[in-house]
Amino acid sequence: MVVVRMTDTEFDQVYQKHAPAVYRSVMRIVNNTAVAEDLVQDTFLRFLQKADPKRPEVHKAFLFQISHNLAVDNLKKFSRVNNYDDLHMKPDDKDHLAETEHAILRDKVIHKMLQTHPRYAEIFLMRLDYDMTYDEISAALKIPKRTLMRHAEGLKKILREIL
Amino acid sequence: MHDEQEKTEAVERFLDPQQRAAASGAHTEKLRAIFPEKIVAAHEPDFQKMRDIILARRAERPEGRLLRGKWQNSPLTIAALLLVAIGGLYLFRAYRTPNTEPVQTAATTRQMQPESFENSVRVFYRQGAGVTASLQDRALLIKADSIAALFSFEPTEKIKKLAIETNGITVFVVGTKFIVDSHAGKTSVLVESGTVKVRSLVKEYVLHSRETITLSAGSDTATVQKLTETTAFSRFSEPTPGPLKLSPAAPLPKSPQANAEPAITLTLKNGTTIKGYLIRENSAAVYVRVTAMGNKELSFSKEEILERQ
Repeated sequence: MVVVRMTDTEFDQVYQKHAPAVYRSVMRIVNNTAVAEDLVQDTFLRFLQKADPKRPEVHKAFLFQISHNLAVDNLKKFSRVNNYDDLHMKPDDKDHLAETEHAILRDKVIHKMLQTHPRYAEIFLMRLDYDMTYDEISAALKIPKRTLMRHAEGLKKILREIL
Repeated sequence: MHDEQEKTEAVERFLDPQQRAAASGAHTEKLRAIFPEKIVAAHEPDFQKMRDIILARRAERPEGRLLRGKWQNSPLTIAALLLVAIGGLYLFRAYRTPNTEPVQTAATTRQMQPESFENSVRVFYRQGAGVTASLQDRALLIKADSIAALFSFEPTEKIKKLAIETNGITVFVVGTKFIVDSHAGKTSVLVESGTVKVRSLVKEYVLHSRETITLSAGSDTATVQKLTETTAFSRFSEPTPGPLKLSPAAPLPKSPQANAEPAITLTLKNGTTIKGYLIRENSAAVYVRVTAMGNKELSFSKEEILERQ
């Protein structure tokens, strides 16, 4: 059996390219900076164990899949500790209240997507944080493009509801 | 109806990575506000620090991906593997002698894979140096310069006896599950089940189920004690061996070189000083393995830490 080990240089390239996206997509689900940081670390550790260094074209989708599964599992296992003050504006900001409302709304939308269909949140975060095309998402999730577009319509409907 | 059309277009543009940046309008702005690109402006994580922690944690666990390919499932590969297996079995039977035979020598690296001898002896290593094994007259003798391992032994036709020799102490086994932890001249034996005979140069001890002893070579002052710590056994069966947890009376010496956990000293705001090894940390807390508390894992909120070294 041949064991393929990713070198530190190869890891650095992947990490620098994708770490912010991994963090953002996890953070949108768990809504807690400390938990998100832990999950990002766990994601890359699992990635190092399983990823094939010779196939960089699948690294992005693989990272998303690991981080998303960890984040959703975390959501199921632990009661969520929301920290809206931490989310996106300093408390002395004049728009703090509006931002907090946005954070609560964001939380609700992600929750609704996860509850309605697990694919909705996956497709949404892949588009939003990983800038993936529908073809890339279709390949990553291993679902036909037509099915993917049907899911995409479902998630768009949820987004339209908040406008 | 017109507004619905605008909402639909705004959502379409927002979901399109090509158009998102250039898109404008009230609906798009609202979506941007709810799902900002930088979700945590007030607390941007230190990605470089996270990277260092990931690579430090990487050193603790075995890794690497088994090479896969189309060849893996081909009938030719399966046939080749079968041939190798049959050939190996034939050679094994042809060359083994009935009474005396050498057994594989374990590597002397710090984190070894669990080993099995003839499905009779199973060894789950935490640590080991200079480990060798030999089989003579159906007795397996394992020698080690230093070792921390859980042994599980069930006598079979091929292996009737098991003995572990380390630091001048020999442990004879009848059929049991136990840990030998030998470091810096001190040897601890923890018995989970069965009976173990421990012999130093001057005295012999018999340990039964749930008993432990710690002794040095040449010392005759050790006494057999009841085992109160039970977590030590479960640690050895983990796929990635975790830290061995012993009772506070006999903590396992751990060095940062051995387990890749950097040493850390925390001074808390209440004046307490904590010495141990850094397991991991995030923006909210630091997780430390405290040696003075039998390698207990504790977390400290960053707010309560005054100074760290």
